[in-house]
Amino acid sequence: MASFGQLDAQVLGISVDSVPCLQAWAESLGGISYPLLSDFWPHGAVSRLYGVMREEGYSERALFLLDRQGILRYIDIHDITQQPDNAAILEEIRKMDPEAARRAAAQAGGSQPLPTGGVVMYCTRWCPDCRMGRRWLDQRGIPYTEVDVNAVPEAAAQVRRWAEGRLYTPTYDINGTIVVGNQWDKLSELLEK
Amino acid sequence: MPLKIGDPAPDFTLPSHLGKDVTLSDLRGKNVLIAFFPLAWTPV
Repeated sequence: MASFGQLDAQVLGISVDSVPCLQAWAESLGGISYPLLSDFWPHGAVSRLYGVMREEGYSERALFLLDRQGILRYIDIHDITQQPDNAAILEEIRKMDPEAARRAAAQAGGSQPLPTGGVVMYCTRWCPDCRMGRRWLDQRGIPYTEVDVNAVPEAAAQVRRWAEGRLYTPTYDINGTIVVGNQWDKLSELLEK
Repeated sequence: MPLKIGDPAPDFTLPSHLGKDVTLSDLRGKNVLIAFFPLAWTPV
């Protein structure tokens, strides 16, 4: 989330879960540095206020971007099964606040290259398929490097180029050969070489 | 009426997993990204 900080943007997560539930979840992910807010009681009141409450009792997956005056500048209510795309959101913030974007760019002085060689797994911390991929590699004693597509915008952009525009995780780069998803047969074949 | 671009974001105060309440209007002066997500523990 460092990139959001560089753009002087505060991230707030909101769900209808209770505070203890959010705490346990954050802990299971190794800690989450930005606040996860509990819209538990009155149940979903803020989700309703923003028009994103679903009949099932939980909210849509939705993003609202506010400028420094608290005015809504970008609204994205997207497919509930789709992961938010940090790279696209950061781009929206840069558009909204070009001054902060310039400062951040000056500070960064160029981004780091993505790792290559060996097995590189583009993943997220929470996706179940990524967990399966880790287990599969661990069981076979295959060393690999992980790149979190939610933390590294260039990685998300790279995966989209490989996966026909989708931010598909896990995606593997095995010595330059790209495998989108847990295609065990293909992975076995590549790794037995 | 659904919210639209250019509307002031409705204010709220909610408890946070970090222990403190967060009030949206306290963040005036910063860019803010509000990310609603369906449920913890699920990839829904």
